[in-house]
Amino acid sequence: MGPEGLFTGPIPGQSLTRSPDQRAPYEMPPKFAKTADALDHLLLMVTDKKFIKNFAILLRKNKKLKLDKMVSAILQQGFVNGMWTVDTAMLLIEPLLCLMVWAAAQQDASVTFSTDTGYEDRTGFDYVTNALVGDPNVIANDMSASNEEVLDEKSQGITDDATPAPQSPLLGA
Amino acid sequence: MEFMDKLAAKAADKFKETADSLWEGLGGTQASKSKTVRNAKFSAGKYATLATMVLMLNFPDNASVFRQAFNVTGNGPDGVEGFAASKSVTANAIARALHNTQVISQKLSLDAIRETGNADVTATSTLKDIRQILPVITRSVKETK
Repeated sequence: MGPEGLFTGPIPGQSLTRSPDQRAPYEMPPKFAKTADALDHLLLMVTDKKFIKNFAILLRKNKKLKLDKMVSAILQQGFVNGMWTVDTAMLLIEPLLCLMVWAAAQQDASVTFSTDTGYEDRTGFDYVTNALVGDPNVIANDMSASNEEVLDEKSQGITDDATPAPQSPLLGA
Repeated sequence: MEFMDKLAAKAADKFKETADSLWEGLGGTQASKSKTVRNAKFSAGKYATLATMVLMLNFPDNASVFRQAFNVTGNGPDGVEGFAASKSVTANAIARALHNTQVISQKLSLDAIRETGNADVTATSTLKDIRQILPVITRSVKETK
């Protein structure tokens, strides 16, 4: 830490100078004490159809969005809001990463990581789809159609709030 | 919290490595590097497969739902049955691997209940866990090929 770094953070013990009645959420017991409970909460959040749809739109619009950074941000925000401790957040990194990859795959959206070199071996998807569908052009056309659909919805001012909230696929239709 | 970013990046690396191991175990693909780069906009099937497996292990009660909802294309067949019915060797291997994962996850869950009376005792399953059972999953896939 450089000399200027000493003045950018809080003074050691600064949090203790506040009244105990004005505690920050992360200074109190977390909402989810068990990792499994926190994971259940994240499962319900990520498997929500509204979340999956918006996540896919976000991934398509912002190609530079890195999934691991996003996972880290979600878990840090949860800690700041008193949902879980830092220890629990560390244990939740891998499962949440997998959940987000799963959510992206549901909408045929691509994920990138901050450690990607640009020449990742991302085989599999095209191979499987070509084998199943037969014609790769079919997939490309469908993808562009779905993108146009999303843009049309936005231009017409249709928002997700106007429609009833869809049920999570894991909760049963 | 910079360390969280670093941990997440490390987890991403582990995820990619595990996905590669899984894909190797399932028989790999015939796609060349150049084709891969050209199709990089597509989400990788191996990522989706591995993510589904980890989720099945973490949520054994919902394992069949994840298996049923498996769909790497968004446009292709839904569920493992659709993949199993395909003529593609890779798609068949994915279907069998997911079936094996479901069986293993439910067995692990039953063992946990028998020992402690609580299925949540395993807390969260990580990529380390799936790396341990990966040989079991892929071996049976190869045997039934």
